[in-house]
Amino acid sequence: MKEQEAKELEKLVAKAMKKSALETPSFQFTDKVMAAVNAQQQTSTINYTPLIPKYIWFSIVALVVGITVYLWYTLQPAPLDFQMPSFNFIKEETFSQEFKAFTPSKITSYAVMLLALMLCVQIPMLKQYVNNRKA
Amino acid sequence: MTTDQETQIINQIIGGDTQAFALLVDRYKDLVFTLAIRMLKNREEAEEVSQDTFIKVYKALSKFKGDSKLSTWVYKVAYNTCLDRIKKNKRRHDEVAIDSFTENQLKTLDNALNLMEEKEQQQTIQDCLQELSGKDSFLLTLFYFEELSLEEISKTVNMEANTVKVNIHRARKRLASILKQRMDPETIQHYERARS
Repeated sequence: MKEQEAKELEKLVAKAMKKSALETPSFQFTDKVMAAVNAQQQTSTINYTPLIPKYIWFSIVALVVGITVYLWYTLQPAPLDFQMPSFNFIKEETFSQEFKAFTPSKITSYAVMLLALMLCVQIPMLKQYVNNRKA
Repeated sequence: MTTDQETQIINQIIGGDTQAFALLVDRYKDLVFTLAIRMLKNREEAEEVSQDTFIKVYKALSKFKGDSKLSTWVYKVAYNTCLDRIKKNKRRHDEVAIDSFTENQLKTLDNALNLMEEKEQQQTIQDCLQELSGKDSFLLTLFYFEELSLEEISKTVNMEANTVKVNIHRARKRLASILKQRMDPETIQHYERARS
């Protein structure tokens, strides 16, 4: 009896499933899939290419070397006469002398202070902004 | 389409002929979409998931070893993509309780179904499948539409063949329960009147 019931159930469901038609997706389904697949294909074929190719780097180097050599031989016929710079800063104190002579005006010092203050405010603000954007 | 033809198409696609993939999409899109709609119960979502399925198939095509039928593999990808979507949505379809039927009740249901007009029949069955849980619907569709063997279905849904058999039997019973609920009481009374 149980077997008969199972058979009857199978018959009923088989019939019902036969009546339920297959669903069809939208008209452009294949086109959409193919567009996505083609996009996939293109991104996978894009290889890394440097912004400045090698031959331009070589020509830049050649140009710089060429100009240097040209200037060396044409514009400087006299032998080089290097004067060794003096490293005795304590004795000469030229820099510190000049520095002492420089006294900024009040407006300049206020402006520099304000700039420093603004910088101190901007650093944490920018840091927070960048952190939020990453998250 | 034979497996040889499919192998040829797969080789073409791997060789760089992307357009050949359209043949595979056209071949499987209806069943993949039907399976997705039965699992997700939503047309828009089913279309998105079907597209994702084919994109995944395309990406992984070179890894397909051919030890199972291509169709089985495509349906497996579809099933897993649907499961991922259901997990993402955190949606759960309540399962319908299984009623016990006598042979006569089943015959009455069968005959009542016969009395309906073709369109009405189709609509009722579609509605019943909509009520059935995604997994049950998926199994019945694979079993009856694709006529896959229990072994092939077990590979698709990653279950033992025996478990698939039990699940299909339960799914049949649940479908019959829903059908009975849907058709009660008017249609059956109508049928009884027509018989007497």
